[in-house]
Amino acid sequence: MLPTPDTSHVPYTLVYEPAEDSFLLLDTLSSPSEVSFLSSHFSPFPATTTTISSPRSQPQGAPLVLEVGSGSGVVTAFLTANAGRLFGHAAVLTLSTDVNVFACSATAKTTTRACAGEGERQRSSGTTDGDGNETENDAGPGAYLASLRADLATPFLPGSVDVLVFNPPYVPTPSVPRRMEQRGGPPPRGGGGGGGGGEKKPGYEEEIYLLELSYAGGDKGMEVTDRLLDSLPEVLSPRGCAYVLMCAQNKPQQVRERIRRWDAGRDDSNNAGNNGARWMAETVGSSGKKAGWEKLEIVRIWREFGKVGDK
Amino acid sequence: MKILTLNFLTCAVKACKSSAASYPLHPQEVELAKDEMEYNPQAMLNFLLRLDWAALRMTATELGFATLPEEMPTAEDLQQDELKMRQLHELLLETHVVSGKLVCGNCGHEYGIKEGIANFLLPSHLV
Ligand SMILES: [Zn+2]
Repeated sequence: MLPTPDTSHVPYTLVYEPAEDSFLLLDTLSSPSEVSFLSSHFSPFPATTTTISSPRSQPQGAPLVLEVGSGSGVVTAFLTANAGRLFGHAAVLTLSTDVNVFACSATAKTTTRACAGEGERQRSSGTTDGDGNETENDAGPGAYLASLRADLATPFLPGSVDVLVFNPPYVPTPSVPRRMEQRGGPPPRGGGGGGGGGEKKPGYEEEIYLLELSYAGGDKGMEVTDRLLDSLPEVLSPRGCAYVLMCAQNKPQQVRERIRRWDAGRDDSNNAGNNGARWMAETVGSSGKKAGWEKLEIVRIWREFGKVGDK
Repeated sequence: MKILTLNFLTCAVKACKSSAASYPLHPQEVELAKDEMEYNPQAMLNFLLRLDWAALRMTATELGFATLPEEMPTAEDLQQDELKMRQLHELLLETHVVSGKLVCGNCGHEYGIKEGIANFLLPSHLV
């Protein structure tokens, strides 16, 4: 069991508190099958190889990991602090987005703290781990690049994300809340939405709004998830994969079948579609019904390339 | 926001994605700070292999850092040049943007950065 990052500093009236769904993501991403998938799919670039093709057409080397809707930051912190154990090497870049600026600050803090703690553990345990065969460099934390305030993955360069993780607002509701400034609130200040920071003390109305953002999924609970799924062919690198959490009411089986029918040949992301690529979607983690939670599952979505023999 | 971040970002406006002018975004009026981070040569090499060198060169120049060579050094060169590697480590992973803005070269939209967090939410007329 890898340690769960500490989120005791997070203001839970403004930011979603880690819960059953967050912990299912941590358990799934650190399960033996996913560790095996991640470490074989994103193995480090061999240091002896000197030929480098354009990284934009076929990324290699360090995987870029993006958590969308990071909330408290518990998942981003977990992925970053444990990068060495999950990917088999510490050459992992992580980023996070959230529309809630309080969540952006919380994620940055949770991740920085978790990595500092992990670095500390690495140093005190010397250059090998318990098995005595991993070097300090391999087991250490990855590099957390930025906490961004954004809608889903919209500011990312097409074809750039290698691992996308999303714990969406998945509860069916009559509608998804509209942005505060789009429903008659004060307009954003300065050239284009002011800064990312600017944490004024929020009123009660804003607290309700931020809470709704974290769970209200609209029709079938899928309005936000569908927008994210639609963006995957563009934003994922050819080798990229996504982990998306769904609840039973989202009808995950139908979603998986729909993804498998996507045409990998339509992707404009460079040369991904031309060698027998097809879209895959499998459930790689699930929780049973317990204590008021309905069944949750984590679906992994990725492209499989026919002949190349990628796992 | 670490400098390396800029290598993976573009304008959030959908119509800008296909325009070469939208990448990389141009940092303006930025305040920078430095946080030390452990230097890991093997990881650093993998980070370098992951990035777009031409875009990094542009970003570094615009931020006022010494101009990087036109061609990305080969992995072999880098492994023999620890000084160069450490300089890149400092620029890409230790230097971060505290405040300022990022400007799209295509549509001119400005994304503000405050307290290290860039805001990519678009006003409703651009969504
Ligand atoms: Zn633009």
